[in-house]
Amino acid sequence: MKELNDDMDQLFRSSLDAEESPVRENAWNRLDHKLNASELDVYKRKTRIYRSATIILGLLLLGGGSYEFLIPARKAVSENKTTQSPALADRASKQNEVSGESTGNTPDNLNNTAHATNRPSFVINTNTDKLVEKRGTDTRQTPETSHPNKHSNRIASYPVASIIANPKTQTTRTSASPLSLAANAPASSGLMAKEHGTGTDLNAGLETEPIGTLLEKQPGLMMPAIHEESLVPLSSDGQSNAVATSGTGTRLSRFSVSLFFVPDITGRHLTKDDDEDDKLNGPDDDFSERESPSFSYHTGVKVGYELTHRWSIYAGLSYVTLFQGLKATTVYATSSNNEAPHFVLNTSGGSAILPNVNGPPLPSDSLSIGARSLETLRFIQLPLLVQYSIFQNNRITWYALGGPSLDVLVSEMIKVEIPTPTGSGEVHTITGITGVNHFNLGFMAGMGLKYNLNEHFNLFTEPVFKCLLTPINSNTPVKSYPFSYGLSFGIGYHF
Amino acid sequence: MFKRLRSPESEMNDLIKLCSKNDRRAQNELFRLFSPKMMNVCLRYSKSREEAEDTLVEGFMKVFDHISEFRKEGSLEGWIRKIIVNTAVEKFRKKGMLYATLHMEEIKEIDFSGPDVLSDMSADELMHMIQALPAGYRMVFNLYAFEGLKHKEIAEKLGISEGTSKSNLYDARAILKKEVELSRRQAKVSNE
Repeated sequence: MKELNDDMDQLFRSSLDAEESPVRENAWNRLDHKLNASELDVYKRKTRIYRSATIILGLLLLGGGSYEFLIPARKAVSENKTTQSPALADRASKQNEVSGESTGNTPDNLNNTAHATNRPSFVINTNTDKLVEKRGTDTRQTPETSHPNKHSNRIASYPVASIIANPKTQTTRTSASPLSLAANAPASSGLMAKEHGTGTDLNAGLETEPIGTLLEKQPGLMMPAIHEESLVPLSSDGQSNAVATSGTGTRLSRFSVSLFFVPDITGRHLTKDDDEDDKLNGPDDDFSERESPSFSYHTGVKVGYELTHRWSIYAGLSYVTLFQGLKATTVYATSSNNEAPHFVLNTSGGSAILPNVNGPPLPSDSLSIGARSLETLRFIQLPLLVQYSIFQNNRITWYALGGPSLDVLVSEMIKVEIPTPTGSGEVHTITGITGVNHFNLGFMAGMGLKYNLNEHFNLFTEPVFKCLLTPINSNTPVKSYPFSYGLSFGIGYHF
Repeated sequence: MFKRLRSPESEMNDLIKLCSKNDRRAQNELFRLFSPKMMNVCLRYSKSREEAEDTLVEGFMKVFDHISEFRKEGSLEGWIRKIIVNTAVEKFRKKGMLYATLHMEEIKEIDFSGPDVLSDMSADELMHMIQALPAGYRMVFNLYAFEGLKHKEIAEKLGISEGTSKSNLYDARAILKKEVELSRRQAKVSNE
């Protein structure tokens, strides 16, 4: 019985296994259609992920920046976490020794001394004994050893952002005059304290004395929470001065230059011209179905100028390449002004006359365009951007930027796959697209994160959204406004 | 002076590489190369040509999706065939058609060893016989007789018990024997 079954299996196998069955042409068309749809799905999925990532990154930057900007007092809240700074006490002790006014204040009894004289004692919320030098938009940490004369010419040569008055020695904290520390005075290259409200300028007495000494001389003066945002850069004449200085006291320029590269996803927002309704009944009104968004890129350079320590303006030059995929479609031969008929491919960016690969067409002849067709527009973009720093510290700057741009079309091109009589497709490049505007107005906005590598160099990344405010085409029933989501990567140099 | 000739193997490698880059022309070429054989496979697993075509298109979609994963350890044809068969199995599992039962009448045993039994029957006739089988029987018969799987493997693949696989195969053979006998009788009558 088993042999009988095996024989039957074998006979079926030998009769059918090597056979071939014809496949209808329709099967490939269906497969081709599915592959196109699948590619579009993949693209859409990638676009969604990319867009979501851009939005999330933007929101994170916005949220993080807002948190730092709107809740600055959070740094002073953690009294429980404060620790007395041996470095500060030691520094005060040394100062007294230098001036011959030894009070016997040691790290151990400095606090006790303050209690006895009803003065605030210092507690420093810090994990480091490094010095902080406030420099306009930048705060640098410098090892103590690099400032041999620090005690004599700086009043806040310790982490000023974390100095708070010890509330134990005061009945009320709000009754005292607030102090602000002024940084970056070119004359002193140090920090100055200035009493607000009373008009009393304490600079003269403070420039050469550390805060510890200052407070010893000003019994009852209370040191409220000091944080970076309260540090006001002052010039020698007491005016605000946002220009940064280097560690050696050299003024940093307000100018900077940046190089960037932006891979982006581009699409086109299409609107129909109401006056041209009659023209929309033809096969050309389905651009959104016949065209697919594509990955593009732009690269360029921008020059920045710091207006204040938060506001900057940028102008630059970008080379923008916008790709737009064209799906397989059928075009028809038309003739105008008694000219010979020719195939015209209409896109949302303009019209292109196709070469007569298979001989001159007759009116109403049709031609199938392959799916490997691509439209490319290249612009020189001249942006003018305003940047606002939401948060900044010695290393990181979070900022928002936005502004208009002038987009000048420098080249337009369509690569189109035209089938040959043998059935294969040939890709032809057509450089002339009619109906494309050469001058366009655009807008871009984004958030950015800048990381200072050192005094001059920085790296930055910016999720940016760009769009054209004017249509790229004219005299067409459908107005096309390209847009893009991109993530910029760049390097900057501060002169 | 010497024209460099490219081996069919390197041409096939180029074709695979292009297909993995979604080059539509290369994909079309690959489809034209293998689709007739794969259509035959699909027909064996399907009830109709339309259903077979669906399986073929679905299978080739998977082929193009995963062609970059082809490791060239075996033949490309074998790899594609495996995908097509898996696609057919997947379709049947989705439809839940594996438990069709059929009450068989006693089938008289026929000797298939003779050369004249199936030799006179065309491939089309044999294909129709397989296509006429209930889906579950057709599936088990194909996997056993054509793909060379054991009952244990078939059971795992289809999510059925080994016993069901054996019984489906037995019933499938019984139906096929009956059809062959019927066909032979008709041929005899027409000859007389």
